Amino acid sequence: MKRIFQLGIAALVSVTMTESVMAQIGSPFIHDPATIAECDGKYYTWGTGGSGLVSEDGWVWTSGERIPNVGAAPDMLKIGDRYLLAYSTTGGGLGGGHAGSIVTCWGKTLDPKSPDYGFPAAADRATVAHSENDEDCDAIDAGLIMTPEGRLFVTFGTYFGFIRVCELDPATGERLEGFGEDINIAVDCEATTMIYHDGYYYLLGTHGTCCDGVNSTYNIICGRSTSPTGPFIDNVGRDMVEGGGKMVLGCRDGYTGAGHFGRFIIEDGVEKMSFHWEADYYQSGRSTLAILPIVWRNGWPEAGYNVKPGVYEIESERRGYALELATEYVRLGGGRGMFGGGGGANTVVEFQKLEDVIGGWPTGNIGIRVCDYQFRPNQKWELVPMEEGTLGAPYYKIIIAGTNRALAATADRELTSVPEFTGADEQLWRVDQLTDGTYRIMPKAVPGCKDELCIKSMGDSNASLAKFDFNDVNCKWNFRQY
Amino acid sequence: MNRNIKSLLAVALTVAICGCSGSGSKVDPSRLANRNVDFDQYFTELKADAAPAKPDEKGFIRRWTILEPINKPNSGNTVFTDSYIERELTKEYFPGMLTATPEAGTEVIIESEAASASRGRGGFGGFGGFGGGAPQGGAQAGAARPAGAPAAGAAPQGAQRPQGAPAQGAQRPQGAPAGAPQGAPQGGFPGMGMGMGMGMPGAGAAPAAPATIKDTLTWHSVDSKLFNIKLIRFAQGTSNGQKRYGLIFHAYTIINVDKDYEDIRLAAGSNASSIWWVNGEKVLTLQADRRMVADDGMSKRVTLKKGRNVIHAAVINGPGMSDMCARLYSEDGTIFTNYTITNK
Repeated sequence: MKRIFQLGIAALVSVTMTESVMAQIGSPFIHDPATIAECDGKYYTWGTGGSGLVSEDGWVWTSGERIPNVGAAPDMLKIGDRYLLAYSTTGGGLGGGHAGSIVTCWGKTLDPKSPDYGFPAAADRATVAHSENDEDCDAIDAGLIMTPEGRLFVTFGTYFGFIRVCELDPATGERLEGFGEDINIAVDCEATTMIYHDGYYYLLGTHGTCCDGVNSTYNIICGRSTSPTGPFIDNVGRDMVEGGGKMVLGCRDGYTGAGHFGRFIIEDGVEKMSFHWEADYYQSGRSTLAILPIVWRNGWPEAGYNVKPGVYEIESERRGYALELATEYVRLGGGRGMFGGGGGANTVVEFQKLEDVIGGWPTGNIGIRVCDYQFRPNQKWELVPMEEGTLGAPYYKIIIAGTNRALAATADRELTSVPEFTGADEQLWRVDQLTDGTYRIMPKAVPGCKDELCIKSMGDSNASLAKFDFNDVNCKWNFRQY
Repeated sequence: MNRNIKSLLAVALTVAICGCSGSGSKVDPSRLANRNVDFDQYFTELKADAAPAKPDEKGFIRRWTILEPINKPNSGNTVFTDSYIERELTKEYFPGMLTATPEAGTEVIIESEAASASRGRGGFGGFGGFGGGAPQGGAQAGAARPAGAPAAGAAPQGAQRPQGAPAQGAQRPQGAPAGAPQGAPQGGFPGMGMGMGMGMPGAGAAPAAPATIKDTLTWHSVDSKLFNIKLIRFAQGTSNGQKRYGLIFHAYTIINVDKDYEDIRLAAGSNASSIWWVNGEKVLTLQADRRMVADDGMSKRVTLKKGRNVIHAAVINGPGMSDMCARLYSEDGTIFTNYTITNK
């Protein structure tokens, strides 16, 4: 009975901890979130109806200021020192009429406490596109993109017919004078937006069933084009006006219905996608804001992974060696020795256990090095998410499994392990999956240092702290479980 | 004509030729928004003995003979479970319906559910709606028929009752206008607000048996002007806008080949669920609420026999867009186009 109880508690903790890296914490309840925007050190997003969320760190989200007179599914884009808001007024959706309008307006700040905060009255906002009551388009779900050449486009539409694009004047946010008819670029999807990557424009949209709670099948798909006006082709050569689309993200255990993609580039090689889960099983099946890494694989975006709580090898991308405590190497007994010779029945060789070796470890700080992985106790790191973080990911404490010995940054910009985790900033680690699928590992703070640093391979067998460079393989790590 | 005017004319001509929008990029004119939803924007209606056609350049089959849609007034699409689809789309409203190839213009009188604007309104289940304001009313008048086309549902001249159509009780409902079912127009589901997948009938109280009507429906042969068949526009155009949502569509096309072809696959997409038959054999089901995607599903291998082969499709949708598309693939994954398409 007691064991069953313990197992139950363990399972509950495991579920809760897993959940804590899959969705934002706080009260992140929203539907159709706008692309996340940063203003004066805070992050903001708004959903349908103008409902707002705000976050100090990008991980813990709470209800924020509603933007008045905003209809469905707003999007936000910072242009210069202003913020362009686009949203839609709509006539009723699936079972009703399909007259809609895409409306834009500017704001100077997103901070409701700022004296500069405010958006024009509804009558003073620009209508940049529309759909009539029964045409093959429903002009909702605006998505904004500024191209590398400085051209501004908005995509819009929903399941009723075509997704369309038109060009806006980036100076005014109004429809570009002389732009002709809207252009059909996809069909029967929702919540589109466009992003640019490596010579291609990618049209992201949502397929599947929306608004059906835990039964929703919402999923984010994409196609790509060399032009912002299409045609957008998927990975099997299908045009998105024929319904094509390669999946970016659908469902993950406990979370269903990914939709309404937005992209946030932190820096070269570090990108995040914001979206909503139609239903978060761990929060009453409510619709929640989620932020995950973007991984580019073979030229296509995919939703990446925050590191789940658990025990890992931390493997260098440089050589494939493992981060470890610099402790005395303790040889294992047993085994067949060379060439697998000898007869008799097979037996299981016992793994080296923590209690076999910990007594020989120093009790104070222990240095860090990089070495062949042999699944020894000094190489097994447990990652535990904290209740604070950065955009889209929590901070972790990184401890040797079975102990409270924690990885830490030192004032001389090196690595060490401290015997007890205290929660100090130099013991909190930001772990971002990079666009190539590897990870960077950064301390929240380095004592006496203002720079943001990451763990970097020094040769094959050592590691230190240094500035991050996405093009430097030494800055990249993998988390392995076997 | 001065130089400036010449320049303007040149720009205008360029726009006209290449469909340039203000973006300055070349845009296929067929991709420019067309807000006209008249029937003839989507279809060319054919006589029963239309000359054979070929699949389009991407292999899509654009010629279909479609029965005016059957009422199935679902106000949401969440009911489209596997068993529901099987039950509703394999139902024969007259004997041999799934293999029959009635000529264009043939009338059939069937019994179907009366259209209703009030059943099964469903809800959002938690996030309280989008707050976008009250719906701006239901659908407007639907796609208009092309000039000179027969009135919706009216028997074209020379139309005959198809073989196998029910003889007993086959009649127009009393007082109903020709071609229009009894009950409220299906222009929309007022009050549903936004959102997809809504409308699961409320649990608890047993639903009342739906009222039924006798509905006179006509088969129409069409060539689609698009790669896909915009069933919603077909419905509106053949019903004077009375039919739009909550419908079942049955359609067939005839594939003519000069010899037997083995290992052919039918690839199809539909909004929403559909079942597809080749020569009377059910070969593909696209279950659940879904959007039309080219090659969404692909059938098992089938043999096209020398001569005439019949593909039959049944598609159901509640509210929202309804359309379908289909083409054939060879075993090597290439699109199969070595056939003609007829409607008889």
